[in-house]
Amino acid sequence: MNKLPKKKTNNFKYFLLSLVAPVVGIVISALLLFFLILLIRKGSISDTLYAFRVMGKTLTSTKDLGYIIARAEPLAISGIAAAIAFRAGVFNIGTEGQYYIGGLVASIYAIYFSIKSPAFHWLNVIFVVLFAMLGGALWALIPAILKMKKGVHEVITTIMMNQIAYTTAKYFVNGPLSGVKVGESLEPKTLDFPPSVTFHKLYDIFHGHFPFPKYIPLYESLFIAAILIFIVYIIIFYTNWGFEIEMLGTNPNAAKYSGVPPRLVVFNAMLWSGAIAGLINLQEIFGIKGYYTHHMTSGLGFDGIAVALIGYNNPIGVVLAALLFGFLRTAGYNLQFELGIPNSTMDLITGFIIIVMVIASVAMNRYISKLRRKEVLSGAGDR
Amino acid sequence: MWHTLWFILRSTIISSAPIGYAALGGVFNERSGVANIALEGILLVSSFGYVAGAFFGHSAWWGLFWGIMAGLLLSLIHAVATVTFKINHIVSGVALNTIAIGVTRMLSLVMFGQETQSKTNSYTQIFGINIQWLVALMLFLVIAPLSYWLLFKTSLGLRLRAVGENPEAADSLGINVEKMRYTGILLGGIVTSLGGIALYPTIWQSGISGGRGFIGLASMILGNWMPIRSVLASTIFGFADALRLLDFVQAYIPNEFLTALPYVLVLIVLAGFIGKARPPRADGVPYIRGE
Repeated sequence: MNKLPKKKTNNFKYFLLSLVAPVVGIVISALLLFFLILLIRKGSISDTLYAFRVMGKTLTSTKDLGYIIARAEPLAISGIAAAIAFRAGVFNIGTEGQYYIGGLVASIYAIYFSIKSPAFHWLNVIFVVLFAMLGGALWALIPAILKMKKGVHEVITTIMMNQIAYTTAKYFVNGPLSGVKVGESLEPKTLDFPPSVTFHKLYDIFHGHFPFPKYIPLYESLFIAAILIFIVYIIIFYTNWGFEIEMLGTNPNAAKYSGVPPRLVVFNAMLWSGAIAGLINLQEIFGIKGYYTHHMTSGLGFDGIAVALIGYNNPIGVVLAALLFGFLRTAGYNLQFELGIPNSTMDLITGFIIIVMVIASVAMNRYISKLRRKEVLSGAGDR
Repeated sequence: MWHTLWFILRSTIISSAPIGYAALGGVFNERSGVANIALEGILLVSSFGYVAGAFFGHSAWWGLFWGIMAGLLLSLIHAVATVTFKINHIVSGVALNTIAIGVTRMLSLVMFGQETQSKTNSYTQIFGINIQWLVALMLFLVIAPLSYWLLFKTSLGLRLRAVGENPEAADSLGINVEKMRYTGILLGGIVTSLGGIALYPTIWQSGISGGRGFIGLASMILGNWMPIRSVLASTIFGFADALRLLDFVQAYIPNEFLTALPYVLVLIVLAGFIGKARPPRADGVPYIRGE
């Protein structure tokens, strides 16, 4: 028997190479940001340097760190939802609509069916999570069925579902669920949720042992996000189902021949992606607002897609990317406040980071596979 | 009676135009094999380009020029990212839509001193005709038939479609796949920009595109990737829009129902209950030689 020579693959080297794309993306985007600020501040270099100092300060102030985490939370959930679908090779563009409906279904539970006794708050939270997931999954069901039965591309069906979701939410808020009292406010909204349902602030739960100020919008939903990310991590890397998804996403043919039912796996991935998407905005609905309205933060679904892409569809990567987005937004607000640099500059930078990073990672992947091929070939030559 | 009918017809044409142009833009993109969900972003930047160009250039012509330039520029980034660097088409589209929101809001603040909307632009006439009405009419009378002719009666159109159906075969016949896809994306960008110009030439507001780019994609699918049929499909959405403006309709049918109806219709068509939709075969697949 020919014994294979000991593998000389240098895994650490490949790990470093995989970091090249994010670093390149951030460096090039920082350069672009530099020139944009220079342009906005009419060529003043000292102002531009000051702007970067403001961004640096965002990372050292406790208040800003709290905001970064609060802003990263919905994005991380959204990123996880998108990542599950991406891993199976489907594009769930519908997370946007799924969180509108997830929030709506959970709100219906909160208003009509929740337990009014504060002692059962935890049970209410569990039900809110379950109903939000149910609503999200429900909204992913039609695209999933059409994909499985008819092979209709999910991008277009989920875009349609997004539009329908918004009008559905609007219909319920203005019609059956309307809670606007005469002479109160003009903002359309539902009735306020009972206090036994609304999420508590982490600041109150920890009785002053919480590092961030009271006004930072961090609620129990942060636990939900953390538990979710942990569970998804386990599922993706330590279960058969996670492996099947992975296999289908990376090599559909190999998956088919080893007995993975492709349509069923895609169907499930789509539904679970929708279920998780239902949780995206619980922080705002059950924490910040305490009632439901279709005038809530929009675009979290699309942001989550970007987060998933930058985080390589890996739960840990997704959390890091969400924190990066949270940082960019918080820094954006500070820049606007201190220097009058429009907050939207950060949107521009975000989009730019995505493109540069993905281009860099495509190029790196090609380089890495070339390198691996060479290594294997030279290994064969030694024998 | 006649007055009402004319009102419906006119508002159908005006509300269909941005969607119809986006649908045509989608046809050019996807026929060449490039999926483009950045149509939404193109509508947004070109409508901003028109208002800013006309406002500062004191002429609707400058508005037209900058509207189209803005749309072209965004399309060019999509082309470089998807064709030259071969990244996933949807990814590039998502990023470009984010960029479009950011860049318009930023420029609006710098140019008009307000992030959410521009100043009112009073240069909206070309040859004494309202540009919104003119561009909207042009879609049905000129641009749609012209696109059909270009795609189905010229050799350029044949090549473009070949690249979208089977890039390997087209490549082996000596057609430059990358060049054709650039052509498709940029032509689509110009056409979609016209839609942005027809959106609302008087004032630009953040979020003014309102998902019309996505609805354009839906119209394209309803129209089975055919130019004239896609434009006609867009009138379904435009008609629903026009109906919502009428008092007696508002009195009997919930507004949300009419808004949702066209999307539900698209889903029904996609489910195969009415006719069969078939995309170009290589749609959305990056072409890498020798793989």
